[in-house]
Amino acid sequence: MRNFKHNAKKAVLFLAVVIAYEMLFSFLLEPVTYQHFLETELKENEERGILPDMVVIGNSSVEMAFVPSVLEEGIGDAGCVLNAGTGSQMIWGTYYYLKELFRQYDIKYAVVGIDYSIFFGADSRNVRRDLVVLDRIHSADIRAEYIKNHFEKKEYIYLLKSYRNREYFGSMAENVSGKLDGNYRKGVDSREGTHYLERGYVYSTEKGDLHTGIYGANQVDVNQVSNESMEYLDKIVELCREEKVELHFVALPTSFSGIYGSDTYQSAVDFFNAYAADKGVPFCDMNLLRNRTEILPDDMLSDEGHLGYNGALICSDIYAEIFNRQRSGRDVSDYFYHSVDEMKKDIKGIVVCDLGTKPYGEAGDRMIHAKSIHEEGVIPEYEFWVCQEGSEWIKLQEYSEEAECFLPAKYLESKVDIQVNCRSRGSNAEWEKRKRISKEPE
Amino acid sequence: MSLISAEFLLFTAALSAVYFLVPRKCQWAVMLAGNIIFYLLVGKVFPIFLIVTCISAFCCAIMVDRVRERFKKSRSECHTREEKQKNKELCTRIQKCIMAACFIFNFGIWAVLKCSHSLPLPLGISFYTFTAMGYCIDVYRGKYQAEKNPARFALFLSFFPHMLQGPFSRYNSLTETLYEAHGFSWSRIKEGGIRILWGVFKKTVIAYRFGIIADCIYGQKTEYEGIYIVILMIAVTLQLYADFSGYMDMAAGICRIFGIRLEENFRQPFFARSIEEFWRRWHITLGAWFRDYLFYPVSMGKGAQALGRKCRKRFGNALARIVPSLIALFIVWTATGFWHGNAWNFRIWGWMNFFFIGSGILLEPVYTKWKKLLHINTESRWWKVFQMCRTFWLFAYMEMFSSACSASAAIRLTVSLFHWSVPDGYALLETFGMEGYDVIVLLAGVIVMGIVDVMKEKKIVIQDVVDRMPVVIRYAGIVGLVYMVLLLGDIGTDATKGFMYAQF
Repeated sequence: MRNFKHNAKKAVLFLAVVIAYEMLFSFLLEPVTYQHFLETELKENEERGILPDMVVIGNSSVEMAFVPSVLEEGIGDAGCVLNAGTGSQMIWGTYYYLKELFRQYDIKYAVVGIDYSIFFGADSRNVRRDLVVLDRIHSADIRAEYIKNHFEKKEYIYLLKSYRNREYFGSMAENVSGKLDGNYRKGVDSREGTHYLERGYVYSTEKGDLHTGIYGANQVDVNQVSNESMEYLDKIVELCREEKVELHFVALPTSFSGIYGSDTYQSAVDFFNAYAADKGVPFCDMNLLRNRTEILPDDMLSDEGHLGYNGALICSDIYAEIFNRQRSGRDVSDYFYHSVDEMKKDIKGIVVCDLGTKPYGEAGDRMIHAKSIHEEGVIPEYEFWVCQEGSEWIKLQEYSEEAECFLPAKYLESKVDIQVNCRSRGSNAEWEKRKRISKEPE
Repeated sequence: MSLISAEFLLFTAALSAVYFLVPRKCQWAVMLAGNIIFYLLVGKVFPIFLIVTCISAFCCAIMVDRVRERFKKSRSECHTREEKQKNKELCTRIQKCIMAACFIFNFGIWAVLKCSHSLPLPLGISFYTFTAMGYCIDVYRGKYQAEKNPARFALFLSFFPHMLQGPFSRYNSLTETLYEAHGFSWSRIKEGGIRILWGVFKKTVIAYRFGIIADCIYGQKTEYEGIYIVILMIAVTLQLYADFSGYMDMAAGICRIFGIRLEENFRQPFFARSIEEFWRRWHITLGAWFRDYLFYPVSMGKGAQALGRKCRKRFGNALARIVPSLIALFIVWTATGFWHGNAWNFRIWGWMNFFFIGSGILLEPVYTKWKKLLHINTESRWWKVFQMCRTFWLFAYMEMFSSACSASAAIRLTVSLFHWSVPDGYALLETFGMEGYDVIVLLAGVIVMGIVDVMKEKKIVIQDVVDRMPVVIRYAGIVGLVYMVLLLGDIGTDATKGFMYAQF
């Protein structure tokens, strides 16, 4: 008996040492996260009796597209909107997170962001995105179910926060000073760049006007639909029915130029239109908003997949109107183009311009080439500028219809910024669209 | 299955659970089954070569023993001394034929596979071939009788903790405890566990980081010179030490859990004061194998004795004693070089070792004279430190040479050593793709490794020190080491890096 007590004491002591180490390294290694700010705010709101009754949920495109306060104002009777988007959140993560939220709060409305790339094409395993969602689930049974169904046994080690964050060992000092910061403790994210604003909404101060352009087209293959993702989407529909939560689907804005270059985007829209109709769930694709290139031009994106702050304000405002109409059963088709082709034909003026460079000759010179997406009948003109590191901007070529400009090798000896301004022929504007790229010395 | 993996941990835990649960007389059979499962999981191919070596060595030893018994019987019937002498000679000749056939067969397979560039080297072949042949020689020498039970012999040869990187176990030494029954002992589990943890720490935290530096410089050898080559020498030496001794600690720890005693393969090698002494402290069992089975037979054989007599006539007694040893030493180091690899850099490495050891033997009288002249107190601390540093740098250079991808690459690195350049610290870190904390971890790891080695050199038993610590400190140290491995070690779902000596 005495032996047993002695051994039990030692076992408890050992466990205590393990827990102490885990807590210590979790604190030291875990960087400042949006989750901290979200949980601090939710706690404060709960103390004030403000509980969310509407949730917008999905991946980072949702996280950066919906400003809760703007939605609340626009929707009217939505008491409190929670933006439950997280980076790279997969549809199964959405399902389990919704389960948790329905258990914690009395949610009446759920808006699920539909990112076509999640549903079509191959996916590679990324344990971190599932861990972010797991950290937001506190109910033991939901956590256990999520872990059992979505984590491989060899990934269980990532459940240790210290191990999960071991790559931040080198930035331990930064992590700790960030957490000891007064603003952090108050739940205010005062960091530069992308940071937390309110109730799960994260925004970027990046401006898209110089960073978006004509990318590789936003191609999808509806023949490669992910069965697992569709299975979980079905589960979400079922879950919302059981919990008597009104469910809506929405596809968030991505770069116009990515869709313009795609010949398969329409098939994804059709697929989800059919799916949503079959399930009786309202759906809309914000990329097909009428006059989208004027309301939400690519300038309003911080990068090809995410809205910047101004873009999110506009998107939230417009979506609130659409949401109100949809939930009262009214038609919203007048907000949208009927097809991608119709949208492509309805653009006004110059909507996007892009540039690239290619080698020219033997002496290391390059040729800058620009292109643009514009209304039929509009003739674009291009003006080329260059700025070497530490120097002033130099105009290489005045406005002309010439879409190419010679770039001598001397500009490429150090890091250089190259910019094209684009406007319609006959316009007096300094520029209508522009694009800038940086090039490192070769 | 990687040795630094949850699967291996589970395998060891499951094997030890079954081992201690079965009736004690069946424990050795459980261990044999464990060896086979281990080989299939790690080797991933059917262990045909292991089976062939096992059968051939077992049969060879049995036959050698039987020949001895038969001739002993017939010798007892001999009447004259000449008859007895002839009987003995015939017995020896037959035994040698059996041994030769077995050697040629097994070493032939090993050599062919070693030299082949297209055939992969089977897991552990260098280790079990040499172990098996050493066993046969010991039986031939009458050191012990051949094992009659083929399954027990298979257990000895295929014993999984020493399969990958040794040590070269002697049959009589290992089987003292291997065949014995062992009861469960919690203190053995703890001791074994701590030793395994220490080995994992050395391998995954220290060896891994030194490996990054070494791989970086070897990968771009034409670019680096001066201080980079010096860093390479240090990195490759300490990487090899941490990796190899780390594995030995893991193997010894696993054996401790089962109650089996495994021979030590390292004895604080960096305290060696000469290359000769170094090889009595580093990979001890390899050196002992070559000493007992190659050096002594060659240096004390009839050929060597005849040569010694000729040298005595021409050069005097001093050289007469040394020349046969030098020849035997040359053969040993040529063989050792080949054991490491069939490439010129390994051969040259072997000959460099021969050169340093041989010249030490030859020039010993000269050194003694100079030390007397210069009034050098050879037992003074500074002289010992000088010798240790000299030995370290010689070994480090030789390791850098042998670890290069070819002899020409190794020579290029040697030449680069003398083009002196010293970049700043940040440039170095950037070159190796490391961060500041990696350097701190490396330094701290080397210091801790050094402290442990100093304690062992002073014959302080580490386990006793750990046991005497207050419980909280002990637990904090052990759990702290676990966390260092978890957070800083090269482990996790993608840890498939093998141990360095497993390639031999």
